[in-house]
Amino acid sequence: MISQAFECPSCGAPIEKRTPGARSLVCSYCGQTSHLNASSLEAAGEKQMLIDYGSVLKIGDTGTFDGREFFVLGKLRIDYEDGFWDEWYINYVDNGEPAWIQEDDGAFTIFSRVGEPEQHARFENYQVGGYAPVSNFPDPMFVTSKARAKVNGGEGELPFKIIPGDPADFVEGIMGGKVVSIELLPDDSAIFVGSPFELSALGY
Amino acid sequence: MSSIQTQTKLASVNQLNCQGCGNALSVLNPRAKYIACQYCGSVLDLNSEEHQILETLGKPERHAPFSFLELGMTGVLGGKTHQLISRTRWRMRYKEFGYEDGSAGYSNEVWVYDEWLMMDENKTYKYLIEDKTGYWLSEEIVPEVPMLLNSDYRMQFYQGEPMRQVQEFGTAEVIFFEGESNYDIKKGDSVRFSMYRDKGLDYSAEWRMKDEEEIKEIEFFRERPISKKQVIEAFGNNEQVTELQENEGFAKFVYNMALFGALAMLIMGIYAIANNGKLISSQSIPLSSLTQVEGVMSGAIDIPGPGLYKLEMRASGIAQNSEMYVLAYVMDEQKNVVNTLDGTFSYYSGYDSEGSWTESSTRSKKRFKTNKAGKYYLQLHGNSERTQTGQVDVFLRSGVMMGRYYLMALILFVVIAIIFRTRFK
Repeated sequence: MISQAFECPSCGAPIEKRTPGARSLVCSYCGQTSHLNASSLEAAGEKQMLIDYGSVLKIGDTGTFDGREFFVLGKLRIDYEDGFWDEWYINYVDNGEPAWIQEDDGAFTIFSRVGEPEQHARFENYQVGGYAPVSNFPDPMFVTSKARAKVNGGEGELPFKIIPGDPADFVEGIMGGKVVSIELLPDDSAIFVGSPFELSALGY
Repeated sequence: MSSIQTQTKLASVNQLNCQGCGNALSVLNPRAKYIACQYCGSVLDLNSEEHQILETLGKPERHAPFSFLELGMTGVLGGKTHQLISRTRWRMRYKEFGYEDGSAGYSNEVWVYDEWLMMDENKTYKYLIEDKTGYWLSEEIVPEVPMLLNSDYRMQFYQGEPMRQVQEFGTAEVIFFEGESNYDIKKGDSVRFSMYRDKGLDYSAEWRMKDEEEIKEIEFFRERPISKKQVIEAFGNNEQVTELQENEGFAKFVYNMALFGALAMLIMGIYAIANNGKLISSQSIPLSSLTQVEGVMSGAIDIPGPGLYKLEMRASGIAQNSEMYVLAYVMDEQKNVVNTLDGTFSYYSGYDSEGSWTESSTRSKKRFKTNKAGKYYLQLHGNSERTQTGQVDVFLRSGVMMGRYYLMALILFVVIAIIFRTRFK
């Protein structure tokens, strides 16, 4: 892994960029989120240090899933009316493929990004208990929940631009025995498909 | 880079005092937003500095757990240490599928159960369901073919087929909770649900409503029963395990004794039915003599002692197409009537479209008890429309047994055996 060193535009502490796809870097000393523009860092939004509630995952750690080694690059925390959950941004070592591990009250789901929602897809149009089309998939998903949410903050590096406090509405559903998550972020709305797993499957 | 390391201890405990009663409370999950005091029922806001009281749920003792389980207990289930961090008591008002009077349908039911939230060392949650009848482990699942209750009351979301009859559907409402919660919870919160059964497991769809029209969230669960023994072995202390073993040993003993008793009663019952007793008196009296007003008095019958006796009348030689009513008084030495036996004896025959037929009644019998030995007599009276031919033979037997009592005892022992068989593995 080739890393690139930066300085936090807020406090001057060193920040490391590890993957070419990084778009946001969060300073581990002051909690400042910065966006990567060309080859410089630009502070974005208020400083936000995430409260550590304890997790087996930690930025910088390596682990294996399904026999493939991965490393943990970043974390995104989303707040919604019933609480919050964390999304751990990981890259597989063998081919650099990105994936996300969702951690919600000790329940883990591993997601891969499969595409973007249709241009006309709007939060209001999804109906819980109904079916909704999923781009690039022949079958619709059964919508199981949706909620208004916002970005609490991040850690490490993330593959899109985030600003703490930005809206992060989501729609969740089920399609062919898989979990579907549609995240409607201002910078990068995306569809993720994944499966729940037991923590023991992380193979540490 | 370092590798991911598992946490080896349960979360560090945060101690606080209840604003309602002052008792010490423990918060195990740092994510907890609320804690409901198990001593006074106050719900505290953990995000506020003063831990202000949000609501009071009423007296916890009115909603005591169904068994020995208590908040804070730790136990090993599935190889992992779990701690009971909250309990929610739900009251279901629902329709239950069943058969009555030969037809299938749904009946209105009300049921109460507890949902224990267990947290392991990695802060992973599991649900233990408890009611008056037993325990179930509940886990959230991702179904292959998600669906909600439909108009034909058949579901199969886990695999898609074969469709199964919905066993229960209705609403569950929170009536009490204790311990900590990461989510908003308050008394009166409700979920709607429908449940079907497949291969011994319960599959439930649960959905929370945003309002009367709009669903907020849908979840799917699978519940598998676990035995009380497993729960006690996981959470019980040594005393409780010993008590369970003693109870099981006692249940096994009662079961074996009941089986032995049932077998004994079966043998005795068969013997009682087959045993006709010992003949101690036999007398023949012409039916023609019974029409006299004063009746016919038998000779003295010596009854050797207190006990159970069988008196039997058998008629023979009755004229065709006639009948006669015979009443026998059993009298003691002082001619006091101590028992009676009657019978209508008849013999009819004729022809119909299917040929000749006969119909007769020639026997009457009765068991009776006496308390003392002595001489007894029989006085027989008869009532017939015409002078009868034939005779009635009167037999008295000792040493008879009451077969039906053995049968009743047999049923009792079988019921006891069935009840106690369910109390041990």
